[in-house]
Amino acid sequence: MTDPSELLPLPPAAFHILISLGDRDRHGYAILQDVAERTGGAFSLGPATLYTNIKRLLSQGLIEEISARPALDDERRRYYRITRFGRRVARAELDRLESAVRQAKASLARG
Amino acid sequence: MRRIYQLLLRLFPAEFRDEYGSEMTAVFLEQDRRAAGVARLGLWGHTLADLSLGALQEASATAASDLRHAFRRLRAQPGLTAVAILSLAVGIGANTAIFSVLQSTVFADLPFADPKSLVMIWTRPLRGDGAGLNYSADFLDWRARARSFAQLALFTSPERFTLTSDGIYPERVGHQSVSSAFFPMLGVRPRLGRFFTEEDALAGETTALISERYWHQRFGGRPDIIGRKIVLDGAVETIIGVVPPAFDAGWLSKDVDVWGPINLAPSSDWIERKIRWLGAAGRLRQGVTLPQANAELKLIAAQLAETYPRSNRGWTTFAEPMRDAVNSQWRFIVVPMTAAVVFVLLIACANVTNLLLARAATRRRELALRAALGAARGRLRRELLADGFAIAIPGALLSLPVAWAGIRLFLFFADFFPVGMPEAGRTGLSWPVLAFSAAIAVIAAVLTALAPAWMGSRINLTESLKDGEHGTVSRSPLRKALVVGEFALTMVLLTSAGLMIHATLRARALTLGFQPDPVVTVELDLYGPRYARQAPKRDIGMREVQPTVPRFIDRLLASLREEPNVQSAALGSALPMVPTPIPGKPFRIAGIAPSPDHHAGLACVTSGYFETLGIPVPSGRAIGGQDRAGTPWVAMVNQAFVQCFLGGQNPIGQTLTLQGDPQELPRRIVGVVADHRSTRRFGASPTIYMAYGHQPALIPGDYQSFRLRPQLLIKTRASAAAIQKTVQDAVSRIDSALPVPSVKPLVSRIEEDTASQRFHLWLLTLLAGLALLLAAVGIGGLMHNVVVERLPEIGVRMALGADQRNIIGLILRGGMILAVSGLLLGTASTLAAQRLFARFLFGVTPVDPAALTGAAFVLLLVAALACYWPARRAAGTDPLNVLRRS
Repeated sequence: MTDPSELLPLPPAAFHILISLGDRDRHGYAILQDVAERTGGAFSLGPATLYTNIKRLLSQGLIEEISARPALDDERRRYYRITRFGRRVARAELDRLESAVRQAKASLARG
Repeated sequence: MRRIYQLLLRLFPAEFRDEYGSEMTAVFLEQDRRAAGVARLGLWGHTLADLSLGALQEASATAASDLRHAFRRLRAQPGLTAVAILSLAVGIGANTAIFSVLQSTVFADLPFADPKSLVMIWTRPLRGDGAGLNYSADFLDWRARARSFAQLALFTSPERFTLTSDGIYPERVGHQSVSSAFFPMLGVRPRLGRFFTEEDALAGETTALISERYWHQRFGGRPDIIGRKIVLDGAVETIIGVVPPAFDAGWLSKDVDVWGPINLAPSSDWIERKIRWLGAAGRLRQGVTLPQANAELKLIAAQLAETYPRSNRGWTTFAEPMRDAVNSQWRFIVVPMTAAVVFVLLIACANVTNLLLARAATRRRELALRAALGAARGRLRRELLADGFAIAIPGALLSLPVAWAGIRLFLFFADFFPVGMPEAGRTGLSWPVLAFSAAIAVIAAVLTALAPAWMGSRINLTESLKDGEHGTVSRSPLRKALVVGEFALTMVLLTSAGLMIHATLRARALTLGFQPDPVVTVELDLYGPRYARQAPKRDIGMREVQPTVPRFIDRLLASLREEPNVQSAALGSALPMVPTPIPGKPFRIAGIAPSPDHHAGLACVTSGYFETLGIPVPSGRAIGGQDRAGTPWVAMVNQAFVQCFLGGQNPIGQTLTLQGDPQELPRRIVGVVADHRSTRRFGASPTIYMAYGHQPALIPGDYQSFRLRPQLLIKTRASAAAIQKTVQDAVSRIDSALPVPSVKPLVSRIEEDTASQRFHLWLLTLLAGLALLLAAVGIGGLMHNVVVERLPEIGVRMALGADQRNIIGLILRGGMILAVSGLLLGTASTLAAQRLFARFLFGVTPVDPAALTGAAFVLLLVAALACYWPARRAAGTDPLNVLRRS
């Protein structure tokens, strides 16, 4: 699958996971915390939602599991990284959202 | 915490749990560690929602992917898959159709408020069964003593009255008398005006209710109908209300357009213990069960038997759900059909299971390898289960058109014979029916895939890897057992169809003892006030026949006999082999000691009756024109009567007197009639024939149709339309107001009697045929697999000199052993269940060698044909080719 638009719109949880992995690789709990922080607690993921989405993102090739981890880290933790294709999909989703916001603003302004 | 969370993780598919379970637990524990106090409670709420949603999502994703793979696997064998899907579609469709019929017949709710608490109350002899009508006086005692009922109501069977009113010609309408509690008990509200009150009832028959249908038909739905006067059989009555149409559906008041009140005052003429002629119904008090109500009714009946031994000893009372009373006739049609369609479904499931087992066999090596390489057994099991669903889902979808066609076919048959289906419009693919269909599909999917899944997950690695490409599952006892089971079920169905076919053929071949062709019949209706009046109030339920009846009969026959297209004409109270509800009567013969066995059937006939029907009169004379009112009373008896009661002696000149009616006079026997078949199931029964002119004037309710609904018989070669006009003209010259129903050939009246039996026969034969087809597909499929598996062996045999005949015989023998085993098992089950057969299949003898032989022959023939094709294929193999490949 090479066309990001085929995966749009992304489910909100998947979108937040991709964004969270945008700046650095993270393990599951870190993604959970990052999403909560960035959304001011408005969007909180549970472990089940997190891992069912991770499973799907992995199978779609949007993220990958990496073996590199910081020293002294808990060995049981699994780290994930966004792929190049994942970035393209996340960007396409952002564009879609932006355009929706623009249209909504214009429509309200006209009223 | 950890343990609870890990327990909840079991909601997820095993692979997901293995992959992410420990991570998820770690994340949750981290969250839990950081939360405190109320936040912890919130975390648990959030987690529970998160887990259930996630599990659902994951399970459906896994199921969808399993199904996708299963579909892909099945596409590799399109022929076998299509057969399996079609088998299942037929099985599920037939069940859905019958469920729809069940819903609108046996399980149909009555159109009344809280229908479950409504019961019918019947009186029956202590020794014996059946459900009979009641004494009105008994009803008063139930009402006074029984605590089980919130309401009790009394009603008459619908009768025909003549109604006149301004602007309406005299016409016959259905009439029913009901006690004032009748409509409130059923929870019906008046469409207009009001229902009867106790006061109306006390005032006698001065008020009436009319149906909404009649209100629209005859009074144009005018709102000023209330207070309008009508004349019913000569009595002036005031309309006080209109009964809503919902009531039409109720069989309690079939075809009734006018209702009158029943006066229940103990001094009323209605109240007596002479004739059981009233229907009774009640509504159970809340919390009272049917057995409780029945215990109470039984107790009261016992008390009444002590107080009124003359009238009540030997009788008891019971209640049954009103719905059962209404739908009971359908139970006898639908229950055998339900059993038959369940059989068809089981056979279809067995076929699909066999296919899946064969598929599992071809995948043995693959499955064994995957298991060896670490695939979870659960996953393999799920895959094999998905194969079942991959067949069941398209099967269920395809079953809907099958069900639709099945319902149409059922309604077509019900209409064609006709068996009078009350709620035909409600039979269709409703939501509950669709839900049922889906449930059946799930059950079928699980049933079919259970055995393959279980076997597939127990594959022994080393054995499987040692086996050849195809494995040996077709030789497995389970697959053979399934085919044997299919044949056993088919044998049961074939035998039941065979029993009915044989019973029908036997009935066709009966010696009738009369010639129904070319006789046509018309049922006349002389209930109007011109011919019969309601008897004085002291004889409630009685009618007084007017001298106009024999006069009308004489003039009509004289007029018809002059017509050139009438060969002969006569009237009679009954037609041979057409059921009539007239009870027989006890009698005494002068000079012979009275006996309780002296009881015979009765018939009223005119001159020419036996001649028209071609029944000989071997001794004495037939009842003739001279036997009119005012002459000494005479009678004829049939040969069965002479044999039964007179030991074969000549009865001519002897005198017999019917018992139980003070107006009866002794009758001199003037002739003997040859026996003819009076019903389909029984031969001739002892019968007394009398003249219309020699009858008492007062007649009780159950004998009224005997005198007032004569059957006109005309022997003619004229067309139906011509004879209809002849009869119409002849009747209207005598009584222009008397309606003349359509003329019907006697042959078709006799056929009507067997409509329900033939309806049964057709449906059952159809289902048996379907079962046979599916069973043939089953055995054909199995033998095909056997041939494929044994090709190398067959190749060797052929190389060693076996010819084609040997090979065909080898394969046929294998198949026929299975078919014969099924046949024996099916025959044994049929014989074991013969009581059920006798109960649900009309007019059949359960142990019927002809039916069993016929069924066995058809079964073996079809099995042989189904095995022949794979056998031919085996025989056509080129041994060199086969040996080279293996």
